[in-house]
Amino acid sequence: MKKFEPGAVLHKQNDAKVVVKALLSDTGATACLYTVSDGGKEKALKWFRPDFCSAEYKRRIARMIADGAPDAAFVWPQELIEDGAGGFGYLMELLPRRYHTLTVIQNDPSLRLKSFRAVCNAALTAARAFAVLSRNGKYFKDISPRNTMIDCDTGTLRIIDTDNISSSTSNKGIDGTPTYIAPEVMAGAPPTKYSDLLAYATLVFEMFFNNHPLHGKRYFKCICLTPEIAVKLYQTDPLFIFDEHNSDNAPMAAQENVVAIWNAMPEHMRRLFRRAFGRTAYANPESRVQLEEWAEHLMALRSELAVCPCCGEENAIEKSVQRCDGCGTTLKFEHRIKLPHYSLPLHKNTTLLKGQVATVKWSEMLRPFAAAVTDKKSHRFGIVNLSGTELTGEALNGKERAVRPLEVVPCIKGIKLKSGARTLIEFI
Amino acid sequence: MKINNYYILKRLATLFALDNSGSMNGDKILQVDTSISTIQKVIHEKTNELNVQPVCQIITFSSEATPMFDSPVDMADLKLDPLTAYGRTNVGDLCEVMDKELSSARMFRTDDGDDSPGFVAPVIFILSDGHSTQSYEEQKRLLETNKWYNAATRIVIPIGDDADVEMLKSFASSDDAVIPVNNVEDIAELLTDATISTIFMKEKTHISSAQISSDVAHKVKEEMTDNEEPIDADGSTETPDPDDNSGKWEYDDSGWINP
Repeated sequence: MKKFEPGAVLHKQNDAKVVVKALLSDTGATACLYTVSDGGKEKALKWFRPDFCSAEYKRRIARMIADGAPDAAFVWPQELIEDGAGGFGYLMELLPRRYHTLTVIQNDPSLRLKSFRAVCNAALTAARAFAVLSRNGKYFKDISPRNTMIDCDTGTLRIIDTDNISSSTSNKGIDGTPTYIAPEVMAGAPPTKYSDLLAYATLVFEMFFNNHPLHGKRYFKCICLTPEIAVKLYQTDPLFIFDEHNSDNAPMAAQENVVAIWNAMPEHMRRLFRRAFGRTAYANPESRVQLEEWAEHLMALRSELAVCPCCGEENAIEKSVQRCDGCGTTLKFEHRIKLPHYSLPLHKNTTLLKGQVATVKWSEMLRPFAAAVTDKKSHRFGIVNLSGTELTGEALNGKERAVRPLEVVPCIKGIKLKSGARTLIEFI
Repeated sequence: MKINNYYILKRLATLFALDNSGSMNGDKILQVDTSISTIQKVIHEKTNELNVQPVCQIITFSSEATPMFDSPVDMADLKLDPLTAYGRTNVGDLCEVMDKELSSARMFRTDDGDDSPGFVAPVIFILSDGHSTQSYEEQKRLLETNKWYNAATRIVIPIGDDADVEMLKSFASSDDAVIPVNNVEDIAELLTDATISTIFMKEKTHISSAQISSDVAHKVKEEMTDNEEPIDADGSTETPDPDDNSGKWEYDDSGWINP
């Protein structure tokens, strides 16, 4: 395929010039990636290989551009570029250098997601993006670490290669990572929202554990992984490495880090992972864990993560008294809050999202609702209203008062934070 | 709860069988040298994008066949002295040495014992510009009983008009895995493209070696012809049978079980 040299000039549909700056990647199966200057603004250009330059594909990209991104996490086609000889590509946002694909993060020990809170942020953003996509009747079809870019410090996540997205259930042209393809799709069935659900679950597991959910003894002890064996591993006989009833594919000794994270996970997450990768979920697509349920548990876990004041290690706090996984220090949590569906210990890193206290649409779910604050003088805990709306506080004597945005409710057992008549948070 | 920054990868062993007989002297051997150093550079730059750990062994064959390394080397760190072209084209010796190298004692050693992550099916490139100068049938028959050889994606690259295409074809995993090169100056680009494409596609472990060969051949042709009609455009392309050349072993935790 002809490659553009730096300085090559291409034209947008309005005839404005775009100047090629550098080749970013030429190993993609469908396209090469360049950095370009678009009126002085640096952008990325995805230029398709001739095999993928069909009129149908071009129409699809044009439609995507017209429709706009369904969620801010998607790095979406912005403008179509053609060379007049049948070749085409599209301009898109160029992500800052702090973003890396999950594949690169997994393989480069100098890069790592900074915290499990960052992992929760990334997994929640992906859940929101794919949920919104699914609501629009579209499927990603190729959810994988290669298409997921993350800022390791914050867990801010962006999804690339969005031109795979379509409402078509055809599996033609799927060129994804097979370890992420659902068994029924491997067997020839078209991709559906359910196959996206399994790929999403796999992505979440990899973000938390840096390990594929099916890569245990069976995978690693296989001296030569042939395509036939791969079919068994991923399609006809998938077995979760933490399967409750069958240890044939349990982690091997070198995977001690994976086991340590599993043991430190709260029970609700372990149950969720076991359901997500259970035999039923692989065999019966409709039984797969839904994105709403993932979000519910990930938001809970995000609030449960407390940093040990002695060693700085994150601990998933389930009980009011717990030993630190890192240094063994006894961590005590004096206060506990009750949310509509569960309760959790309050600690100084607690933040609550809107989706944890009310049923809200996806676009609202991950917005902040409240956070723990400490009074510098008295060292007493409180909860600050970050919802952006006025809430109601109910005192111990039953009297109510307005809690305006950024106002603090003191953490005293019995006090409630309400929206109308509905109790959202209660100190217990 | 500590973030796990240790992602365990399976290894991908690539074996290059490079003809360094006298007829390869000059530009041809220089092109091979260039290709190996380009491959090293690309893999070094893209190591973090791979879901396999690529290692390689090189066997040069002329009047004798010789493995270049005692054990496979990490492809990202591969360093090679310039090859010297001399002597005859002893394909029988090549078969014998390949059979020896394609073994758990040599290329597929698992020195890390129980913690070894194992391998994905290997890749073999055979590059030659001539005819065998010794009989090789017996050694080849023996090689064909080697399970690693049978599991491998085997791509052959006949160079120029004098290459024994039929003989080389008999080593390929499928008809699609024969990628001829006619211009000497294209050798480096072709071998580099084919190797890089294969390594990236090898992550797709569900794909049969025939399919990988076909995809690599297609991609290389596309790169080499710069969108012109492929030389063999009028030839029909057989649809590869995914099962025609890969072993049909049952699998258990211990690794291999022959049919």
